[in-house]
Amino acid sequence: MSKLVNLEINGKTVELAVEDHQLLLDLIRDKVDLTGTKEGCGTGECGACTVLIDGEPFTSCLVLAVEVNGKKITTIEGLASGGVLDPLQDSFIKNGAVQCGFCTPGMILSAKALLDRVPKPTEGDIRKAIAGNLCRCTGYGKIVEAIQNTSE
Amino acid sequence: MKKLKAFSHLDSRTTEEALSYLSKYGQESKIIAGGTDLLVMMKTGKASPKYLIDIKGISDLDFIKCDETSLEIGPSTKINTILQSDLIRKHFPVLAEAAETLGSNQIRNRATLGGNICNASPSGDMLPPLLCLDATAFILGPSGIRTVKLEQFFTGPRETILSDNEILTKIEIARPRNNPVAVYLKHCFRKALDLAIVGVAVKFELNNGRYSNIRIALGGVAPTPMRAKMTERLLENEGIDETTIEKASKIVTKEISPISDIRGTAEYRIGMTKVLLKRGLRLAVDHVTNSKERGTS
Repeated sequence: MSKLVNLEINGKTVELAVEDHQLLLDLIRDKVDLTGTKEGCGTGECGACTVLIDGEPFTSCLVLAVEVNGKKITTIEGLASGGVLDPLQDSFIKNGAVQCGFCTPGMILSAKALLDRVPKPTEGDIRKAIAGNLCRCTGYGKIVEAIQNTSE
Repeated sequence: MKKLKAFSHLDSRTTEEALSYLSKYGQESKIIAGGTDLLVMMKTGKASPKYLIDIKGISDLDFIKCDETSLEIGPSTKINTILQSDLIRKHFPVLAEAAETLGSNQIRNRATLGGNICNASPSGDMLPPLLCLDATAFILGPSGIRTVKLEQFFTGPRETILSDNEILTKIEIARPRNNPVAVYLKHCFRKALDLAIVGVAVKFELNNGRYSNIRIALGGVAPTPMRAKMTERLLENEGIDETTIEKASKIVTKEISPISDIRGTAEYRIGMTKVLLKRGLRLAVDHVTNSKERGTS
């Protein structure tokens, strides 16, 4: 049986019919075709599916679509504006923090949530904020630098 | 893609509504709060409820209250709320310490205290500190409320004394008269997203130069989180110094019964329990000594 959910995705209001057992991750990738958000582990342990719900990071593979009625979702596609990259995205590219790119959307959103709350984080703050986003390529060094450089 | 099998999602606005769904659907239903344990079990075939009773909308279950006599926490309180709570950081900082070790920021925005308790993993991070603080669980069922000391709540790995038609409604912790010191040490490989291979919580009060009300609670070394009562008694009788800390680290090995699993062998867990107990006791003694010197105890 379908239920209607009303939500805002990247600033745009949408009304969607969803099944009770559908995940927010599926809604994002399959229903609204925003494939920037990735599925890594499917069990909340890698952070690749991280999105912001009302500004806070969540692993969307563990959120049901029916649970986000009335919420504001931000995916990686919601960061650039008018074709201009968000400073975080720009910094990631300039600082060599992107290799295969699979962890990057989730990583950037976790960083964005941090910088929105703590504009000048310490390295410790940054590492704690991204501890829920695994990267197999970079060793995290460049990622931390990219976030640090954005905050200055 | 890890997908879920079909089920019905039932939003509850009140505890009565949740209880009536539980009574109606019994073993075919499960309560969901944050879902960070339950949805993983459902995705990996370890649970397949036909009905999920969502309690996130019940505001009565999401609270932190603290007065001179006690701290009360609702089961739907998110782990990050506990981590960030000024009340908890001031009066029961060990709970904020433990909260910070749980999962990741994303998980903590979702996971709840009640979930960590009712999921009853032998290595649940909030559990050893709660046991050290002599927490009491308030449980609501069709015939009213009953209370159970958290020590009696866990009956086996992922098993509790909750009946199918009961729901946890509150955790209560009495404020100790003398400022206690408590620490939680979690042994795991990663900085986040890891279960405790061994978890050790230590708590005591310092009263006129004597350590009293000593509690030692362990995770990951028995079918349930547990108190190491023989070890507590030793330290209560003989005090806490380097000699008794050594003795304690040997006695504690007689009280635990770890298994070998993917995170470590039983022998490794025994060894690490000894290490972490010593470390925890020394750290707690340090905390209490430093706060006395600063005049802040």
